[in-house]
Amino acid sequence: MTALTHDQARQFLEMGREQLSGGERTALDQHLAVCAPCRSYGAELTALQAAVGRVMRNHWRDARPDPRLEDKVQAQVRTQTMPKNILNNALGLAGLVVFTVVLIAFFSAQTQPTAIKSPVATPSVLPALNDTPTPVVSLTEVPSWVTELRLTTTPGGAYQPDVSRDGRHVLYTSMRDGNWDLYLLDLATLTETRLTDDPRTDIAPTWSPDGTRIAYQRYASTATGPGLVERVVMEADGSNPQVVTSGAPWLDHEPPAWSPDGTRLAFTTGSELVIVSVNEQRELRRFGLVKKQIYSPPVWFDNDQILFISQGILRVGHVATGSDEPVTGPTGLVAQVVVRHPTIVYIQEDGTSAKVIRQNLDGTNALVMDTFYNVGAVAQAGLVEGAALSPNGQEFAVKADLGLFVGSMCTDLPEGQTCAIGYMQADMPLTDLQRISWLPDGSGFVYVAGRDSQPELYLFLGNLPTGMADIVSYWPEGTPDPSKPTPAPTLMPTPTPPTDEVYYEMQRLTTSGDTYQPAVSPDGRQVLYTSPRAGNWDIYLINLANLVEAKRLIGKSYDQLDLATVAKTQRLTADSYNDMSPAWSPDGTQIAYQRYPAAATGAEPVDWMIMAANGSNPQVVARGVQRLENELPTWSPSGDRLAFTDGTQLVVVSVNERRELRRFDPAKGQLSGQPVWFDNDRILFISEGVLQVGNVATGASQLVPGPSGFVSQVMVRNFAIGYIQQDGTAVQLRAQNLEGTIGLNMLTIPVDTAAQASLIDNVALAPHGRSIVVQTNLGLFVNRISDEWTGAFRFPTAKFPPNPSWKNLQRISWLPAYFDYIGFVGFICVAAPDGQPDLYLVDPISAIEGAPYWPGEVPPHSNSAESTPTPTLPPVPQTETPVPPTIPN
Amino acid sequence: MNRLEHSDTAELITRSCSGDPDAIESLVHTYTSTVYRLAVSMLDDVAEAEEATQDTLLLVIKRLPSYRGEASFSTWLYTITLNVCRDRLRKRRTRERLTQVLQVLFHVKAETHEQIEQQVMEREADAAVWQAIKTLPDKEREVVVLRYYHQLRQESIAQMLGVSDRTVRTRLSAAHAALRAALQGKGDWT
Repeated sequence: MTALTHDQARQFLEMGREQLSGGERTALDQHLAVCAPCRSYGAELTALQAAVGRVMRNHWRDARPDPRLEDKVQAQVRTQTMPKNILNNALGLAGLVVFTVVLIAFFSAQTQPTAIKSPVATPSVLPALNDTPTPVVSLTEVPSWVTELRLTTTPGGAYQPDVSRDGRHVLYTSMRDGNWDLYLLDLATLTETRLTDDPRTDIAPTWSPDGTRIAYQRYASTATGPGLVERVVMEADGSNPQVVTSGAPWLDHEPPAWSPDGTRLAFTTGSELVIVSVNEQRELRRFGLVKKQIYSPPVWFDNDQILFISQGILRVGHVATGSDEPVTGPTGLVAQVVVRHPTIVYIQEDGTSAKVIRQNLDGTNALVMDTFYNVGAVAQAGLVEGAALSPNGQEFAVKADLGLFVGSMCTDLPEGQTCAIGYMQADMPLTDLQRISWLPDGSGFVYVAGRDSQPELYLFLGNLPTGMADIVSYWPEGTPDPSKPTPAPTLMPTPTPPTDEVYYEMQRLTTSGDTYQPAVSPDGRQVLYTSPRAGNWDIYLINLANLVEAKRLIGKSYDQLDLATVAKTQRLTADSYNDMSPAWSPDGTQIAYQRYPAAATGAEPVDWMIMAANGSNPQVVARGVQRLENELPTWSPSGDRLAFTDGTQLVVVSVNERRELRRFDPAKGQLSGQPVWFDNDRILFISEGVLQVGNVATGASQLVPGPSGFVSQVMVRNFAIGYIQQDGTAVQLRAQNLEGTIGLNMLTIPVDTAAQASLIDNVALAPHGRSIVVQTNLGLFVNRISDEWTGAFRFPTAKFPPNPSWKNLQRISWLPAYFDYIGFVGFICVAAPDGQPDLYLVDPISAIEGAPYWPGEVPPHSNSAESTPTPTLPPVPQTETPVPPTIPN
Repeated sequence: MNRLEHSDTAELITRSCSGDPDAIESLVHTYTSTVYRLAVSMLDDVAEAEEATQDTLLLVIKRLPSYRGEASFSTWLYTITLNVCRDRLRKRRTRERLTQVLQVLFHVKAETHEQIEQQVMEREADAAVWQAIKTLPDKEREVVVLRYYHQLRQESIAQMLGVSDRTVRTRLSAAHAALRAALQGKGDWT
């Protein structure tokens, strides 16, 4: 054998001497005799192999099976082989026949291999994405404050994610077998379902606003590229695909934009913006449009007005009239626009900076939310390819040539500083197949990244603090060159946390001293409450937006505002019944509530009512036999069903048909806690401390596997359920999937006694999922989920409810994650610091630390009322009994 | 495996195939430890390794009729064990990812097992080596465990995994490089 090269020698060393032939061994020995570096390499390798072997032997040195394991296996084997024994004993011809058939089937399955297709198909027809190859650059490590989770592992990559409105599924496109199709990922199980199996290209999917349908592009590729495009709408399960419009020239992979009511689609073709009617499958309107530099998809402001960008000018088109005009406000080129009712938010570039600006559609109340400085050139500014604001409008992700930038909006930083927190490693295909889709609660977003060269879906969970943590000046100077490494972001000093001992802010919203049961509207702009001030209990409405806006504009505290004028309190019910427990429908257009005769004793029948959001058109939906005190009716996510408890039963009624759909009575026990819809068909409820799920379609109910203690509260968040569980030594907030296959403890509240545990009346998880409010008879406590329970953030001034019989009149109603214009996220509750029960807006965001006291301080467990006046149920008005509205058949 | 053992095994298998309960019992008795040891090294979890051992042996008994003797029985057994373990690892990964999603969605701090694990390591350097082994990609870790813990030859490993000898060599070589890189600057790990 000829003399070895260094590489060959090292290869032989890697193989191990025992794998070599005699000649190879000799050649290796000869080489090593004269080559010190290879000897050293060999010695190191041997040492490594020895260390690896030693460590593994030590680690598994006691790896012997439990003697009982063999017994167990032997028993199972005996059971499994029993038919053979029976067969051997010739105990019956029938058994022989059956066994023979099974055997034949088994062997035929073993001996006839089926053709297996290669999982990785060669892409034969790739849509022309961009003219240039996909740039994949790696800038920096994923920052430590970011958790990035890979969601998919596909044969051909996953693109264009769109998170469903309930946060439980991700719609995406993937190419398998040379063909693009649509797929659905279940976030609870990470399992994939194929939605289309079409020889044509199915791409650019998007959920309808109600989440029941999917619109997408479909086209057949031709030798010269994609042919004419069809826009298709199908059901969410992939059934019934209907072509809404066909023959549009292909432009790129823009998903059609649904109008808010789901009746219209908008998309751009060449030089026009086209609006089509989904149901009538016809074109409604075209607006002229010139795309330049930056592409931004059209965005609906409402069902008639659509925003689009033409030559950098932000325009609004009116479908009814066909007219369009520039939007007042922007002073530079607009790159992106999104709608956050009642405002619009856009990114404006002027050659030196890119600003995120929020304003009303008419141009008023403009506010620069953030500025990206050091954008040196228009070309560089043009690198902003896409922006996605979080649902609460406070956080953003910007897709740029450099990578993915994420951060929190800051409006009060001096010029030159940006409150963007940092940026993500790019490693992603910067094509129109990228898409950033936020979870509905704003806790993160799904996007496409190519960490190991194949683009897959990743979930970004940044846990972005608002206005805190590391502030980085991140936009590098000069035009970036993807081939060169980009300097890492420069960390600026972390701002000092506030040292003020006031860890929360409470804003009084009402002053009448008799307000209870607040309920914030889904858009966060209005608050319902109940009050007995007019002789019996009625439902009232205040306009929160006016209050907050007034405070922002005139800079006064709420106490100095003329609340009655600014809040525009409206009385929504004015009948002789007690009207209680209002609950907003999911779309905010209706209010469900309960009413019962004012001479309430607690045992009389109750009417479950709905009315319009302005109090008009009250109607009876159902009649209950037995009233549970102040229980809220619970709307299904789609708003067409209501659930409430009737004695020991859970009743589900159809809102539109005014009829009972289902009655669950599984345990004949007392229902406790508020029932919670998991989806439009399944509802979670608690009977005698046992968590159950009822299926409205089938009427079946079953235990939810997972909880190991007495469950007192349940909540739903994305695909997960959370619940409060008590076992006498601790109160735990736990999360799990509905199947109970995964679960974890979120927060433990140590308690000394069961009596202490029983003092917890209610728990309300914040929409952003980072904090909970725990209501006890000591007051309200706020604790961050990520922290140990300290009970630190208490509202000692709340003093509510001093009388235990009042506790059902408390409501903790969080502002929605969407609620951005107020500048913070908090909740509304009833408090009585001066003895007058009123509504307070509480902002616990600045609650850093405080003196822990729970459970060291034994909570008083007294029924004695303190100085706060007890709300008294008024005497029965001496008038004739009102005739309830007729129930439609 | 020597000729005598092979002959014994062949007889045991023949009798087991014909449903001889004594032979089956003897087969299970002979191989429970072997399967368990392989399962532990693949799964690094005692409870899960016991379950995998049960699954494997039941599967082996069920599939005995399809054993044609093309590979040695132990290779065939190892292959089935490896497949059972791989399946469990896949499910575990999914479970771990889901739990991670839950943890992050709810902003719950993950429990760290690493520190506890390092404490039981006798030497700090061994902890570094173990950590390096754990972080190898599945395919590389598989060949490292089979080669240096189970002391199997490359040809046997290739047969068990259903890949070529060359692939095994490539994976081992990649694993060596990864281990070296991971241990660089970690003190004296020899």
